[in-house]
Amino acid sequence: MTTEPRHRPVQIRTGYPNPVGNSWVSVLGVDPPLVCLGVDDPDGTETTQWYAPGNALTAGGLRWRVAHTSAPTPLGRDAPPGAAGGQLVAVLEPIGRP
Amino acid sequence: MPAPGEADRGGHDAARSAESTHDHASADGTAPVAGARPVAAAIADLGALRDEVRRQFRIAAADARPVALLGAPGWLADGLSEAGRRLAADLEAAAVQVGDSIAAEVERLRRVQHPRDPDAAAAPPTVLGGRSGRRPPGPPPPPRQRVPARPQVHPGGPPPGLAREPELTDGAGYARVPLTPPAVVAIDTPRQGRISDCHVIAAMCTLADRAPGLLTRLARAEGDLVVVDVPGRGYRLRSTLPVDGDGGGLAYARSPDGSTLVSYVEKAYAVYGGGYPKLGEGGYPAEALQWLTGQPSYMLAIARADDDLLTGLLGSGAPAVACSWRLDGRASAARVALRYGLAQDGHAYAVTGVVDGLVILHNPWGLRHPRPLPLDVFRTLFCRIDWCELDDN
Repeated sequence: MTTEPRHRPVQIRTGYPNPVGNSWVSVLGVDPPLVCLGVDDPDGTETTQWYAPGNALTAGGLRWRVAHTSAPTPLGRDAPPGAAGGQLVAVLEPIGRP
Repeated sequence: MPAPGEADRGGHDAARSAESTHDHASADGTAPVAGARPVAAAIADLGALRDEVRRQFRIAAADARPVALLGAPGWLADGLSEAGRRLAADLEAAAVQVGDSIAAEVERLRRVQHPRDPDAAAAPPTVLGGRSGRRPPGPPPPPRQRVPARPQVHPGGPPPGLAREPELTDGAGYARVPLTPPAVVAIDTPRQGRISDCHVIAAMCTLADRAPGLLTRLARAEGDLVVVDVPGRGYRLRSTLPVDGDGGGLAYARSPDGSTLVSYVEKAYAVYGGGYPKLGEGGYPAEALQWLTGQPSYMLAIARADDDLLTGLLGSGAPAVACSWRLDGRASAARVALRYGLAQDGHAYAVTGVVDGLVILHNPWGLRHPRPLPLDVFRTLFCRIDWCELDDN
């Protein structure tokens, strides 16, 4: 039996907006174990908040729990733009409708 | 050698273009260099002006010198001679003054080309210069720095004519998607997808803003194929694009109107760069700008530029991409970055302009555009501006 995509955990990576339902979740900062996530909903609503593991947020019409967070690999300051992208910093698990 | 799938059209033009990108301007500033670098050309023009001014002043001073006035009474001849001497002296003084002004301007322009400011040594390291060790050979590093070498392309590859499908990141697959041009090209037309190639998309954003016609002309459908033509190179691509395994939507670059032009341009860049995973490792917007336009592209180290140069470039209308610092371990700077809506990773933003002293930037994500930044904040949070020239056409 397969799980519907909307009920699967979502990996949140650095460097680009991550699709979460019909919303976008972007990583704006990491201060382990905290992550700063920006949520952009299709109606233009925009939130920016720091989250710790266990915190909940609403995105794409669903409630999500920050299952765990991780620190990205450190890079030199002179790494080119985008070099720090694609790193997993948080996993969101669906917990139901808001 | 062209990369697999690249048809190397106009090799001479491409070589010439690359040459002009990598050449430094004439060191003595006496003659314009190939590619008509603006600073070198200005220095050469000023040198010619200085010579011409000297010549004209010499003629004028010679005309003003005392001449024998045949038949003139002695008191008149003496008076005119004295007036002529004073006029000649004034002209010579003026010539020196004008010459000095021109020389000072030439010197200022040479400092722009080859800064020797001791403070620069204490500036934060730059990507290709400063204290990071890697410097272009030749004279001391100018604020605009060389475009780095192109990334390694895949060895081998398909037969010439048709590009190999670039490697994908996990979770993406190819699906047939026709080329559809956007109805209107604007800065918001290219949007970054699920890959960290802000350097490419920001370069497309600034071109869409500053030279929209150029972006439109890059791709065309040819039978079952899509051909992407950039200066000096052509890419014959299958009419397929990466889509997400889950929903089937475009995985990477996209446009809000559903057009696929930017997706195909990104695909051609992935062929050039060695696959989408390579693009996702980040890169230099200057290289993307040069690839897209064939024009000389530069990197300006912000720490080495004075405010006039910075605002002049940001407001010049040239395609430009601002690169932010990585802010790991810089808590106070990270707080400021968040206040202005900037990500803490090194990220590339298309430059929109300067309004009332505030720097306006566009995020290639298509959302989370930074708030307008005062110049001093911009200096703190950004390391470099990558930009390119555009010809009049």
